Amino acid sequence: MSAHESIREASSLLARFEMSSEELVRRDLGRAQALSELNAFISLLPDEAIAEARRLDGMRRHGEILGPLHGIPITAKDLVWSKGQKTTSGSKIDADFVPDRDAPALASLRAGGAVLLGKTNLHEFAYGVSNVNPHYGAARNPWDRTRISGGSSGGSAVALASGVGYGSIGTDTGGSIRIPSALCGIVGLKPTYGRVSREGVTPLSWSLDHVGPMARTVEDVVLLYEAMSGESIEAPESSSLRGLKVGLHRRYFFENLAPEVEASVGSALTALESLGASIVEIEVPEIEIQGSCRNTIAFAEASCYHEKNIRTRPEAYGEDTRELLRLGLLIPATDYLAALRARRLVVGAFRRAFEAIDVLAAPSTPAAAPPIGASALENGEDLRSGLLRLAGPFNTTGFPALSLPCGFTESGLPIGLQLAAAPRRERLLLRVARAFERQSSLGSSPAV
Amino acid sequence: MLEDLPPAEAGRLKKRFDAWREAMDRLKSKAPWAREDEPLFASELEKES
Repeated sequence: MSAHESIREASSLLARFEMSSEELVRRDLGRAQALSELNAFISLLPDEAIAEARRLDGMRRHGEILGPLHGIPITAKDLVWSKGQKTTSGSKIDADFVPDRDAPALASLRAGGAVLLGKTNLHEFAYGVSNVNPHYGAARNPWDRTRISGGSSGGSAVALASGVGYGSIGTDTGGSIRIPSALCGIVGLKPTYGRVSREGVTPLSWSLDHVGPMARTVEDVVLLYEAMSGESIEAPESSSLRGLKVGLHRRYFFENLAPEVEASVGSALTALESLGASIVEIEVPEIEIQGSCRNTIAFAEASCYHEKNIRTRPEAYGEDTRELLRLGLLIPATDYLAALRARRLVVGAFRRAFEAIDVLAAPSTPAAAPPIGASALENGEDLRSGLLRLAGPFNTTGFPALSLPCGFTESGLPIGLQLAAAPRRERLLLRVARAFERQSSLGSSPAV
Repeated sequence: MLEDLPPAEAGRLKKRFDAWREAMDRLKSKAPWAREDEPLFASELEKES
C-alpha cells in the first residue's frame, strides 16, 4: 500500500468533481519539477498533458467516461513511442527521434482516458540495470538518493515511488520492470511474452523484450494491464489462497541472498501460507543454462539492431552500452542458434515444473539498492549479473512474473517479492499478489 | 575488431568475451539438443497469447 491515493481513489475524486484531471495533472507536474534532481524524467509534457486533461474534464462534464483511467495521469519509459514527441531511448543516437505514431501499449491507455505526463529516464537503450545514464543523469532512488533506482525502467519506478503519475509503461528484457520496482518499492508486472504488444517500442532484444505496467499497488497494475492487454481480471471474492501451491526453487533463487532479503521473503512465504497456500519444493536442473542462453540471445539481437550505429558512431554510446554492443558483434551465429535451441529445453523444463505448482515465489533481487557507482551488491555479486540473476529466468522462458514490495531493510530500503506463473496465467498471478498485498502492512512512501 | 580498439578497451572486451565463451561452452556441454530441430521459440508463446 502507498501513502498516495490509488487509481480507484483518484477516479472517485474525479467522479465526485472534488478534483479535476487538470488539477491532478498540474499537481503531479509540480511534484515532478520539484523533484527534478531525481532525474526520473527525460521530458515532461506540460502543455500536451494539461490540454488533454481539460479535454477529458470536458467529456466528464457531459457524462462521457472512457473508463477507470479517465483523467488519470501516467508516464511512459522513453523508448515507448509517443506520436509527435521526442522518444530518446535514453540515448544520444535517438535524441531527436520523433515517432509518427503511439505504441499500441500507450495508445490503449490513452484510449482509456489516461493522460501522458512525460517520458521517463532509462538505462541507455534499456541495456543495463543501474539506470546510471551517461546522457540524462542517474535516476536516483527516492528512498535514498545516493543509491540506484535499478533499471532499465528506473525513471518510471522513481516517478511512481515519488507520487508522480499513477502508472507507467515499462519494458523488461532481463528484469527491467521488476528490478527497479523491487528497489524502489513499487509493483511491476512483466506479462507473458507477446501478451502486450511490443510494436512501437524501441527494441533491445526482440525475443526477450516484454512490455508491461508499473504502479504503486497491485490494484493499479490490474487496471493498467487490463487496458494494455485487453484481458479482463475480475476481483476475487476473497483473499483466501486455500489450495494454492506456491513453488520454491531454493537451490537457485535462495542462494547467496543479503540476510535482510532472505528474512523478508521468508516472512512473505509465511504470510502466503497463512492465507491458505501450501509450499512445494521444486527443482529445474535446466535453470543452470538459462543465463548463458539469455545473455547470448540478448548480446546478438541487441548488436544486430544497433549494428550500423555501433560500427559507425561508437562514440555516441555510453561506455557500458558500447562495450556490450561490441561484444555482441563477436558472437558467432552458431552460438546464437545454439542458445535459441537450448532455450526450448529450458522452456519445456519450466512448463513441466509449473504442472506441479500454481506460482513460483522468489526474491526479485538478491540485495537492496546499492550506492550509485558501486560495482557489486551487498551480497558480493557483480552488480549487473547479480540484479539479473533472479529476474532473468522469466525472460528466457517468457513466463509472466511480477515484483511487489514485501519489506524494508533496517536502513529503510525496499525489498521485492517476485511471483511467477505459467504462460498466460496473469490472472492467477495478480490474484495471489493482490491477496498478499491486502494482508501486508507496508503503508509507506519515501519522504521526498 | 579488437585490434582496432585502444588497448584498455580491447582488454576489457576480450575479458568479457572470454567469460561469455566459457559460459557458452559450458551450456553446450550440458544441452543435449541433437534431436531438437523444431521451430524456434520466439513465435511460440506469441501465437498462444
